[in-house]
Amino acid sequence: MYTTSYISPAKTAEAVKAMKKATEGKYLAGGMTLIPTLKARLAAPDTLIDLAHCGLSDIQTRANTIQVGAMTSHASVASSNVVTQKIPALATLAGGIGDRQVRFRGTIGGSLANNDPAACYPAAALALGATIHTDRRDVDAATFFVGLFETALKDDEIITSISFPVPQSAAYVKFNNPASRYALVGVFVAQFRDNDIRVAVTGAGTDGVFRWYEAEIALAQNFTSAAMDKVVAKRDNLLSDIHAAADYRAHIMAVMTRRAVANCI
Amino acid sequence: MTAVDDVGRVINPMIVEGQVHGGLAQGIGQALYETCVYDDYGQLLSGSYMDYTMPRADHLPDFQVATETTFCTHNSLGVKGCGEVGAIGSPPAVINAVVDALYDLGIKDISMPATPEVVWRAIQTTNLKAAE
Repeated sequence: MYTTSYISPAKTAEAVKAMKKATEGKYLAGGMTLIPTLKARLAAPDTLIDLAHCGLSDIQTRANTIQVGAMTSHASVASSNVVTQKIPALATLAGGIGDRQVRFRGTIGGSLANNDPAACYPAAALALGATIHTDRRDVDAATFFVGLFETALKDDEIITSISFPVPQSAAYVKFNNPASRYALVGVFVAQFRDNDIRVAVTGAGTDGVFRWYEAEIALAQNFTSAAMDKVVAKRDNLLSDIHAAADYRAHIMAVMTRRAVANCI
Repeated sequence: MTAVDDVGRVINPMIVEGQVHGGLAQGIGQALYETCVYDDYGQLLSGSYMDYTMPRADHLPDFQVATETTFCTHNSLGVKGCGEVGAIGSPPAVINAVVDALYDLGIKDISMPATPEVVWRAIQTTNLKAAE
């Protein structure tokens, strides 16, 4: 009843073809969420299509952007010379995901496609204004994240790489859920020019990752932690669950933003 | 964290030290992390280690462990129990430290587990404006 076939194509086009043929196929991009889901019998796909051998795991520098292959592991991003030099905040973020085992198996494309509301990478993609490249089009991060575990991806669409514009400075600070080590609240702050500040918050929103515009406006006038004193963190549209109530998440969101700004300066 | 226990005659010091380490972790987990959450229908919500915080190595400080030996007079080996001694003193030690840190705010007691949110809420209930 739970028979699943596993295939490992060498090209994304073959993977898409296999997905179209499958009754209920699933792409496997690292399996840090999918495999536990299968083990818990919460999903029973007839075909698992592993993307590991589609050649999607290199990191390249372009003019003012870094392009990261979708199947690049968190550990590879964390230890990449290019990422460490150009966007150190992105390397720090990748190095803080889960634990060592997760960082060697989990991938950036898998994380973005899953869009877990407490995942770290969506905050970086949104704050940096990343472009998500797929096998058929380019999608702005602003329109990519649709809702909890929902993205603009079609069922058979594959993320091939992600382009991150290089900011003047950036920082990611998260408050860990001590059990899962996901972000209870994570804040990515990116400064592109002196008055172009972007703040993205993960772990806290009822619809997943979001930009905190009130903080952006205050920080654009004065890029210091003290500027956050004037910003009221509202609990509207913030998650309340067994790990934290919305008002506490609002408090942590402001504290993480202050720390991220301090780390940028 | 330092723990000194009297476990009677120590036959294998390494096992005694390991038992006390485990007990301290258990006690610290109880004081700061572990809690079972049920919904209104009795469904356990903290049903996996993704939701239930069992303390891991990086949640804990270094331990210094020592024994103070008085032989037990009721058995010929002079040994005493050791399995849970670390878990007895550690919860009150940790909670007293938390309360001590908050004492000037007028907080005289706090419920376990004293998670960051529990501590934050306790501070919110005081009239003093707490620094971040």
